[in-house]
Amino acid sequence: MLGVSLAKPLNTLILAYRLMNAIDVRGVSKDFTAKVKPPGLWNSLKSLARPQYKNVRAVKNINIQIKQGELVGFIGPNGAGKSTAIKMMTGILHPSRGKIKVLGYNPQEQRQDLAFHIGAIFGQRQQLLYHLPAMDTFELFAKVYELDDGDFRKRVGELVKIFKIDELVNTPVRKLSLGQRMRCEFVASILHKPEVLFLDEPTIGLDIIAKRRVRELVKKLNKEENLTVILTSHDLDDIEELCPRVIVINKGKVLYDGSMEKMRKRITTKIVEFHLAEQANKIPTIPGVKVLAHTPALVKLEVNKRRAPVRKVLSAFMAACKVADVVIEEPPIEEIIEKLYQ
Amino acid sequence: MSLVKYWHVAKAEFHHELTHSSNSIVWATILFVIIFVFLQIWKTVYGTKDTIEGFTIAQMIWYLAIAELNTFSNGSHNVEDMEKEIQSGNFSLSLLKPINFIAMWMSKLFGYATFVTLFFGAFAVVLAYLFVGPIPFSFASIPFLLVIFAGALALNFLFVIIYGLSALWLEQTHALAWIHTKFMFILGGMFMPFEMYPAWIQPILHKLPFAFAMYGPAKLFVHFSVAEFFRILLGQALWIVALLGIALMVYKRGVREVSINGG
Repeated sequence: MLGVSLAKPLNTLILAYRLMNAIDVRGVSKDFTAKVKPPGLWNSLKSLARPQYKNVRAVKNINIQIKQGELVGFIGPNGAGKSTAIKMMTGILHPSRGKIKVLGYNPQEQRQDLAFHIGAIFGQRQQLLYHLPAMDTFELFAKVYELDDGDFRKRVGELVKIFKIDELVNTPVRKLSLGQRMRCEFVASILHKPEVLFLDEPTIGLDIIAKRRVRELVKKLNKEENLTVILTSHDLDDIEELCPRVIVINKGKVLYDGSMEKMRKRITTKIVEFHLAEQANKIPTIPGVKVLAHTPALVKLEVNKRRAPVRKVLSAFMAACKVADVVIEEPPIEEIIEKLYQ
Repeated sequence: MSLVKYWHVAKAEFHHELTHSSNSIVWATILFVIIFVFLQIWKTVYGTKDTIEGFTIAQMIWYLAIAELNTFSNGSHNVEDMEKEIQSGNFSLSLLKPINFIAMWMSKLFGYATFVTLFFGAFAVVLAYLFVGPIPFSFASIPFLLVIFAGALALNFLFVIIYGLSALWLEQTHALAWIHTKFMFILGGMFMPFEMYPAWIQPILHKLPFAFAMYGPAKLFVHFSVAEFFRILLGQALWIVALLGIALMVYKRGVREVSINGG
């Protein structure tokens, strides 16, 4: 009787907590020990006899609160601490200091309970059974996640339609292209209707069309199922298109946590490449434009958008040179981060 | 947490094995060659003798066929699969499922061994029958034998899991798997029953886990006795508890190692 009378307020409290914060990371740091070995045969032999280790702080005192239904992008260069942060949120890694709560669970102590409520896709890592059709993995996962048979059939039917994989689910996974496989991986990861989905480099290795498809699907799931999505990507386009909120991590620290819009405003440069049809001996000199490379076939520029609008730069070069092709890019992520915090 | 999921993991693995069963034809040929070579060797050894250390030549060939079947089904090549899972990072994905990692692997290996036993078991029985004919066998012993064979598989699987998990520390685990296979050949009695070994080493061999995974089940098949059944069962139970303890310890340390050195 007492159990029944307590269960209701307790569930209400958990629900209220989730509405406040699906993910709550407070003062979290993570230290690793890494083997140190200078190059060369002699050093390898010395390392065998007396291995040396150094302490690496991969994540430094981060604080992140994410509400249910938010779509948050984590960006940062390689080794910035993005994946370490995500793996701590999922319970795979234990923080050296600080506290983490995901949907009210302690991920490290309640990893298997939490597993029923979260999904994950890690880069090109595969969870589908390689020699069998994806439907066989879906059926296995339905048992692993203890789904009711009727609910599973209904869910898989919906997802197959959304992800347009009805012609793929009965083909052995080994015969699918990377993009097709990724769509099946997505379905496998969200069969159990997770409330939080961790996507660590989900578009790595995919072509432009497959990337676009993945982005559309993530948006759709976020909108229709109020799914909280944590996305890490090297590809700024992924983040720009999907995430209203972005967290920049570098050297284990949160450097920026705010809207994508505000961050974009702080990025003042573009990289413009002119592929030339004919060699240009003289190129226009425009204030705010820095020449990064000038070869007979290519001129590469860094354009400060505030001082020299890209449109103006394009017109000047089109008039002065015979241009075969133009490529406009964001500067590399490392540069953006550097510039953001200069 | 439901245990039914482990049955489905085993079923999926059985299904997975079935899809590339064409490889099995190659292995069946190898099994044929092995048993044929054993037959020729033992024919020479037996010469005109009817029995050696209590084994007729027919019993010897049946013993070797069952021991060889055990080698095929022990899942030792899965050490490499586990190594790949750990080193590719797929281990992290397994940790994110609501499933016990060791029980999941035990189920997978059971699915694999069921396929191998059904396929090669039938083939090994046919080969032994064709080469040396039947031996005295009581069908009433089948339930007892199935229990002992299951115990042997559990022992083999625990070895596989322990060696596979060592990939969390070692870059390559196949050296461990290779040494284990050789232990099984020599200390497990795969080449010949313990009765052929020097008398001083036999009591030691009888106590090792390899004996309960290899020699015990094969010997029980050709010389069944209820007393021997209970002796082997007890030995298997003790070693299963010990190896399970080691596997759990290795797993716990391994997960901590992932946490210390990165995912």
